[in-house]
Amino acid sequence: MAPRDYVAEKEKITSFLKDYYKDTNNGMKEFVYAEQLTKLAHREQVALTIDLDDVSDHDPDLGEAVLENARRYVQLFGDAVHDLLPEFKQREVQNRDALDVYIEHRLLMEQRNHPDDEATRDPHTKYPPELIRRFEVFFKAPTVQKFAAIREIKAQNIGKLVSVKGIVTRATEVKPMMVVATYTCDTCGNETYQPIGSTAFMPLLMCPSQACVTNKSGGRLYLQTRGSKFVKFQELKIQEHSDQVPVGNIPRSMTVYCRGETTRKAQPGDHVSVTGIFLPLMKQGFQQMAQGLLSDTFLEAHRVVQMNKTEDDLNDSQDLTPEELKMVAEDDFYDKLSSSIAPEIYGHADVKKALLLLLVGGVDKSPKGMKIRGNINICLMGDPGVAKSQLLSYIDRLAHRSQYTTGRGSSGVGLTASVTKDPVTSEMMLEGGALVLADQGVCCIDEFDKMMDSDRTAIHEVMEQQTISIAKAGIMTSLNARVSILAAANPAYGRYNPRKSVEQNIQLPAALLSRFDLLWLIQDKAERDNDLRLAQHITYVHQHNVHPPLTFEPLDMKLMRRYIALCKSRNPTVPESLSDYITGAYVEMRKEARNSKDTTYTSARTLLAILRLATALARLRLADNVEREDVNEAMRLMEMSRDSLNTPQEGGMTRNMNPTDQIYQIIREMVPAEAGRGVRSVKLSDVTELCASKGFKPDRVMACIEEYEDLNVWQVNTARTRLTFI
Amino acid sequence: MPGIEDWKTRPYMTIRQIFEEHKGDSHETFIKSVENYFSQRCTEETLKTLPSVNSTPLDQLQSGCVVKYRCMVQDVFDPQYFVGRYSVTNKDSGHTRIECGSFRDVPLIGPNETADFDSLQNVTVERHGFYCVPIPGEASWCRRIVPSTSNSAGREKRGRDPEEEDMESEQKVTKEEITATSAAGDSQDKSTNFVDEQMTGVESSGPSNKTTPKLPSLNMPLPDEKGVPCIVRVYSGDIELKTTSVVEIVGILCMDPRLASVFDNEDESNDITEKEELQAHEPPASLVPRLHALVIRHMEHNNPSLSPQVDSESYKKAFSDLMADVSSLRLELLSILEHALLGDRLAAEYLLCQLISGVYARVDVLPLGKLCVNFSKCPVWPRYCKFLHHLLSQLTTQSVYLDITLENMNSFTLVPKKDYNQNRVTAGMLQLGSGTVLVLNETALQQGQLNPQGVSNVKALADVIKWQRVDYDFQWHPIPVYTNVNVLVFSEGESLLPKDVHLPLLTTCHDLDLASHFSKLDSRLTQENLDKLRSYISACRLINYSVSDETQKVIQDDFVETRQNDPNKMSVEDFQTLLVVVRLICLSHGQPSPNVAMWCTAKAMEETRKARVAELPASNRSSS
Repeated sequence: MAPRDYVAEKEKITSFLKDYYKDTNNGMKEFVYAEQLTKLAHREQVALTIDLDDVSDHDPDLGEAVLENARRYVQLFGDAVHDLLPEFKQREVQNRDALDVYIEHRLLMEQRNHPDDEATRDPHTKYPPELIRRFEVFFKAPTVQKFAAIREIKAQNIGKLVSVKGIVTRATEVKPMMVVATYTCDTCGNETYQPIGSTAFMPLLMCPSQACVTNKSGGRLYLQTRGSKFVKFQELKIQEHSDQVPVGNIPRSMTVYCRGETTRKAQPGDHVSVTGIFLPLMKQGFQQMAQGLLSDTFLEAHRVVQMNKTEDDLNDSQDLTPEELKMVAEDDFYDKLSSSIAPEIYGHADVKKALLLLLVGGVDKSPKGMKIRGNINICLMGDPGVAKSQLLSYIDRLAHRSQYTTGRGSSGVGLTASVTKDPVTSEMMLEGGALVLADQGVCCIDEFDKMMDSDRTAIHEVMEQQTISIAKAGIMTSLNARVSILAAANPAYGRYNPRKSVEQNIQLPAALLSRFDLLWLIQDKAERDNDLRLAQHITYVHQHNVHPPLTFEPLDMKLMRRYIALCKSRNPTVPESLSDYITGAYVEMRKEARNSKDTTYTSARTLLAILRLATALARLRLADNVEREDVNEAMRLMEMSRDSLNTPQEGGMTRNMNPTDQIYQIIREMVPAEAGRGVRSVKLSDVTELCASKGFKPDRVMACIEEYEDLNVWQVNTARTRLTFI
Repeated sequence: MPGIEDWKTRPYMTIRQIFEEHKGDSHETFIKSVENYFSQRCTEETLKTLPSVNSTPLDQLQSGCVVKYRCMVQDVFDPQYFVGRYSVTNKDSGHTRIECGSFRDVPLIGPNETADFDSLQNVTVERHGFYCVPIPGEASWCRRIVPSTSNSAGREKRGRDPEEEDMESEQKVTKEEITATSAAGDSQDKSTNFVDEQMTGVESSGPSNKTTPKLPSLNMPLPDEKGVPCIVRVYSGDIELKTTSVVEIVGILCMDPRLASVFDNEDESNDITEKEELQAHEPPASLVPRLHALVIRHMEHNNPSLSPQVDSESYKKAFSDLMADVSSLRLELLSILEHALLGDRLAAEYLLCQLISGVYARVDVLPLGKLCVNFSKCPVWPRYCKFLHHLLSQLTTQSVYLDITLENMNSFTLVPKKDYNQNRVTAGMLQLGSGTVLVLNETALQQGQLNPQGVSNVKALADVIKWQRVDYDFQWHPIPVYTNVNVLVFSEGESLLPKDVHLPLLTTCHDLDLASHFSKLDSRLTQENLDKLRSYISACRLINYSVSDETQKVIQDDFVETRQNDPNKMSVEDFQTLLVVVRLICLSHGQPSPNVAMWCTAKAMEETRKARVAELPASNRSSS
């Protein structure tokens, strides 16, 4: 590579700083950096952050070069800004501290002593630019640059601008670090400056001034603290976060040096993303002799951002490519998405659909200050060993932000928030528990039933109000906990007793249970087909060490995550026309619940749950309006979850459905549900075939078709080959 | 090219030569060709002639020579950056040369030379540091047989040093000591000592006992372990070494005394914490030598009587020889185990299965192939478990014994913990290599209070049993690390820990003298016999297992059929356990795939076992 012409580069930088602008909304030109330069000139701002996106926008080559050789460009930018500042100075600035006064004095003296000639000046008395500069230049990495794990930073990254994520494990106190040492001579009174670039320096002893050298007076130099320039300095140690560590490996760590404005941005335990320059640091003095060729490395921080779990990961969620969108938007995408959840767990299609909706979530509404949550809470109950925990841990992995705890392991305090005393500063601090940390995400609580009663009450508030109130140790506050709760509980008597009510079975109060939108009972039932498939699955796993090849290809977890993020950006509404339908359905459900000896409970919360599920379904279609189909599917899921609770052990879910209803169900499921406005029809021959395979006689099927034709649910064409839904 | 023997004694010459040849190439290709050169030379035969750090005292090894080292990775350090290629200028002559910085700790600079650290020709590269310890719980017979023909004379000359005398006197008392219920962490030493009268001069005189408080701890997973830990430096980036990997390393030993002085003299150092870190990472080379790895091989087993490479010819031959009389070996082993288990044949069968079990795969988080056996109704003689463990330690390559007492649980460090001051992982007892047999004696447990440490220790044990996983404590978050440990629990009632198989012992003999009971076995445990049995166990573990389609179908149909008749008779877990048991029975016969008869045997075993569990008083019973 040909050496760059840094003078030319500086020209480019100057033009960038002066001329770069962005168009604002109202058509004005916003000179981003020029405005900041004015502020810098007036000492209203210290840090100048250069967004490399802007640099690349202005001059792609320059942006590239900065990334590659960031250290050099910090200097170049600094020089450029330094040269530009006088141009931007519009008024005299008040001196703010001793160093300002000092600099001013020196500058005046300079002008007085050497009004014109540059040549006669001794290089040592010339003021180093670092002394006079009162601003700091930082780079912000371009948005396309991904946050790397610490273990991905290798020797070839040395000297480059990199971005890493990690958890702070150690932070030193902020200390002053000398940048320029100023000495005065005890004999001639001359001032000498020494810029310091490394962690240690050898103090100057002899006065190098012309007077002392020629007179051989041997003037001694003394360090002037007031005239020296110090910057804030802090050393951080960051370590890889657990999700960046490959299985079985030990997390790596890295040293970060923060200077000036980047200090005090993080404390031990914080999740941070750091952009900085990866630099080697030669060992000094004796260590160098013994260890010779080793060099420490550190990251010179340019930007330290604490990731407070809301605005991180933006880098991960790029838009879906058209191909991916197409793949996701195939006709059976709903089934495909849901069956891609924990693909290794066989069956439980409806449970998985519900979990998918939980991930997507409904729409939050706050009409007139009242807050109606959109998050969907689900409780999975079931006999021990029916893969509840596996489902939970899969969701925990899939969800964008999630926390996994067990009811036994976490106290209410651990779940919500605790007030702790900082051992060093003895300040009181609020530490968010699992629910707070999972804000805007999913909180998976295993062994929900094992939780102490007192702890469970903390969850009541979270589940409906989506906040956590704290009144402890003089701190009174309310934290956001907009979480979906996915709980798993074991039945109280070891196995689920269908003759008892849900409350009795899992010994949870109705108040808490009603806060769950869906309750699923997963039972371990002996069914021939199921058992065979189970046996095949297990033997396959033991034989081949992998899960059997699935009949479909599950979607990639990352793709799902991104699709779900995309879905979440939609805010579908319920159109006026549907409200009647929904209320009608709700009234029907209430009536039914009153009539049948239902062990579950239908309340106004049920209606809200249906709305939530329906909006989630609409979101999943990336639609802006909830449609009747969504409501139907939501009600179907509701129904299914109820059925799972109500069915006695034998008999299956279709207990109280007569054959006609069952056939109707089959036919309905044959119709591609999301075809939307297209023709919704099936071949009659397919219908009979499918029904026959499920054990229904053709005459039954025909009877059913006729019955529903009379009800105007569908039409059969005259040749009796095709059945079309109305 | 250097002579055939030169690479062993003067590896730097060889490296220098390769370095010259690759002057124009990248650092990676240079490292590659060095590794190629050495791995070509490290055949099974030449390996035997290399001195081993495990069995040779450090003072007899020469710094700068090629040695081999069998070890387990205990900690992975952050990568180090160093100058891979630097120029040195002679002050007198002004002559400049390019030096290679790899495979060394101390730069090669003459007295009147200076290194130019800012030269444009310098290349900064990285290397990885691994803190390795001798395989924890490795049986003494494993250590002994390791052939090392070199400098055996030196060893004799050394004669008896105080430490060995110590050990011998220790051996005398051990027999008495074993009768006492000393609950200390005597997992390995005593049990290995108490028959090994003849072992002298084999143990490398690890300085572990003499550590003065000033010196950094050697960080052995088992507190009483002896041996030399090493810091292994690895130069190529594509070798995957994780914590608890068991590897054999061929590398250049470096014990330069200059390394020791790094932290001794320097007090100007910035932080106390930084100093602590430096001490932990750069301990004196006399305690923790550095090893610059040339060849790294993952070990599938560490049985010295079998060839280390499973696909080698010599292994295949040894294997087929073994399998020729597999049934007699199996019966012999079973009868020995039966005797040791006080006449319980079924328990012996399960113990055999347990010994050859091991995680062969993981599906998601679920480990497959592990079989944790819990023998309840165990005689409460305090010595019994120790005797049993002693027997097992003679049969298996790695075994660890742990008394589950309140005191132990409350005080031991089972889980490795990250020490942020020293920036390293403090070893815990559960940091064990793959295939270690962990014998837990729950009969030692009394009523009482567990402290938080105790609770987390019990949880850690449960995690190992259930998930074969240890959650290393990293303060801010746990880091799960997979293990492969065969756990055996002896308890009075059903164990409080989880288990795959619970079997109440049905002892036929009562009130006997344990010592004489177990000494009856001695006549059968001749050296030759032992060798065979050890090889048999090691080899069985390594058989590639598969199930034919027909057998698979029989198994599946059987499951469905049983469920149809009575769903409670066979749950999914039972089925999983059965599949594991049938696999182990099959392996114990030396067969790669099971037949229907084996499936029936497995089912019969499980049924008898369940019947025994069902006979227990109701309070004791829960799902097995």
